[in-house]
Amino acid sequence: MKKSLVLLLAVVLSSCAPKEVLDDITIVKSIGFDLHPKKDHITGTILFPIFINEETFKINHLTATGETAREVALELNEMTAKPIFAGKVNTIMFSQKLAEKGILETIDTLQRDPGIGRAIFLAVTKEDAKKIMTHNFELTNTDGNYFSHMIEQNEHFSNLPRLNFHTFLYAYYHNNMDAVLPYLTLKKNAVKIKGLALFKGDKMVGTVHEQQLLTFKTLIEPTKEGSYQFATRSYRGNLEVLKSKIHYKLFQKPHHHVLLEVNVKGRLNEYTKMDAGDPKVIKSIEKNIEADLEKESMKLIRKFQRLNIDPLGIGENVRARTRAFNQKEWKRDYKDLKISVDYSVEITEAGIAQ
Amino acid sequence: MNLTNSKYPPSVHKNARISPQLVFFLIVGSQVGVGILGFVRYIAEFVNQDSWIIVIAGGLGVHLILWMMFSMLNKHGGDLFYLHHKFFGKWLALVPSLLFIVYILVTGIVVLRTYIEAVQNWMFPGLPTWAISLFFVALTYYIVSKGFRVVTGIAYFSFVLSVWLIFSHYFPIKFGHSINLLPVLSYSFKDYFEAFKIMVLSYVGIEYLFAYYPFLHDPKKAQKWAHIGAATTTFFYLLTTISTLMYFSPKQLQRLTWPTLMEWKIVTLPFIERFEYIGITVFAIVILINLALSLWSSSRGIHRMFDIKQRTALVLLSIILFVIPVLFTNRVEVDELNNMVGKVGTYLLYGYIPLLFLISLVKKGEQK
Repeated sequence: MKKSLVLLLAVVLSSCAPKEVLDDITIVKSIGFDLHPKKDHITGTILFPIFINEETFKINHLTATGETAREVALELNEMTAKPIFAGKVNTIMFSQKLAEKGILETIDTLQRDPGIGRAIFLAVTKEDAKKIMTHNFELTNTDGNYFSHMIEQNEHFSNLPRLNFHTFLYAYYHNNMDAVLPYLTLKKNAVKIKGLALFKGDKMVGTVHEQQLLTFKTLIEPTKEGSYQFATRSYRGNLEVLKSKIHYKLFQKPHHHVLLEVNVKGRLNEYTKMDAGDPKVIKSIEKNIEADLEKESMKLIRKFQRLNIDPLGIGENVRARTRAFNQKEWKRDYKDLKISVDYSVEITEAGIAQ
Repeated sequence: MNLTNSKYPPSVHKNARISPQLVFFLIVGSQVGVGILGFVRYIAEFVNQDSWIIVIAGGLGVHLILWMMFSMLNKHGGDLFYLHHKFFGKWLALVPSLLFIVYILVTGIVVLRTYIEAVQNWMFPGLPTWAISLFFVALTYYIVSKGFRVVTGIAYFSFVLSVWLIFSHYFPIKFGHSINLLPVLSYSFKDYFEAFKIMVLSYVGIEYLFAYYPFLHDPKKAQKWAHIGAATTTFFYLLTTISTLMYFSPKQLQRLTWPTLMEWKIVTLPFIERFEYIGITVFAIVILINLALSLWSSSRGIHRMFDIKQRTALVLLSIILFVIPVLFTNRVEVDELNNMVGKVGTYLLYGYIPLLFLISLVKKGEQK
């Protein structure tokens, strides 16, 4: 008797919660936010698949305007045949114009939604997000995963550092760090990574050029992938990064001095002269790359100091190595702090040809 | 009503007892509850990167208390109600025994209400509190009414079915920053003390032993397994703390209600994209053993004190356990309930039990 009672309860109570059957919801894949000409208004665009029959579907898009992300969602919902569900969102884009004004409200709404994952990608777009999302990519974005896969593969196999919604929130809420996001632009029939968007709080304040991406990646995290294009007057070449590690050294006296030591191991992938078999030549190439990387990274760090932002988390690394770290003093001194970078590059292979 | 039942240590039939190894599951099952989903935030508020030290300190404290509990029970035999009767007399024993029973029941209520909140926030916002409450209480009643051996069995299942969740910490540690744990020992004693007090809430649960001690075969051997259980709990908490600290930046952590659930958002497996739903669901069985032990211990207490049939007490307490969670309607109240139980738990573990231990040293032990 009791068993049947429990069984009965299980059956009866399981219908208490509203169901979300896949066929009956609008599965949003990407969301884009733009600044609307009307004051304090934003435009939201969503991409979602529409199923024509069991096997074929098409990616559709919708746009709506409102004062907050929630209002936009409500507006959008008033246009779709099935309720909107954000559980499968994989990319969220902000136009540069909106990012420069600040994206706090939107971010806050998104992070409150338990349906939104943390491994999804955020990006800033040079053009309007709407323009990029509604662009007809024909074959590239048949399943609505093009943007996220493009960012993901670049993070895993190329020069883009590991960035997602979580890393953005991590840096955004960090006292000693500032956020960065991938910076995208529209090409004829593709979206291209143009670099990184630098944030100060929730506002975009600058960019990192795509050619500086690898330098940035080696400065922010240990990495096992990346490719560096180098050139001197007499030759050009490409270094494939196999391993890169970063160490911090602090010199407290006579004044603050932070040294970033980066060890890069790599393989010569491309080299326009024919003498790569000679160890002496390899040495000189290493020296050249080191000098190049140091120059580039100093340029970057100067830029960060000028903007008074710390996307590399230098402050956080100093805090972890300092007892009684004084945050106010650090913030005050950061702009004029002496920071130097020391690269040591080791070329372990020169490709399969001599 | 007959108050003399607790005058003698209970005689539990050999067949109703459990083997000493199983205490391991009872201790882990009673300590690890819904608190593991959120405790790091509360201790990190005070000592941030040093939270793991507090977790270890709290774990060591538990061993001390556990040792005290076993010492006095080994010496005098019986259970807490017998000890009270023996130390304080028939009438005076009523007060601490009743308070203990109320406290035990409230720990169950806290776990149930907090879990319901997690379910409502993360999975089913529309599901009414009473429905979840009814479901759990009915199930718990069913388990407890079958006796202590079934409760122990559930403790075993609860452990085995949920222990694999610790592997989910791999992802946050992989994406985490080890420098978040540095520098070590940089807070004042007062901060550590405050954090320690808060940490006690996560470790309460061992006091159920006071009720089920007579059900153990070979209590001396069981003590060893109880300590191993407590150490395992500490290990789970330590792992959770380290992964949470590494994964979130300090201010980000303070904005989260359920850090562990948030960590699971990064866990992406080929066959399941949103791991947190699996995690919350698995936690149903984790809190089931919390509830079962709470209901069993409190109904057992009433049976021992007033000589009422345990099943009658169980029906009554089940109704209370079902109704009270429904009365709490928002986050703030649930938080307050948690704080209150944490405070009472601190006084019980580090105030009352040592006091009782001192008294038990003075009093003459069981005559062989």
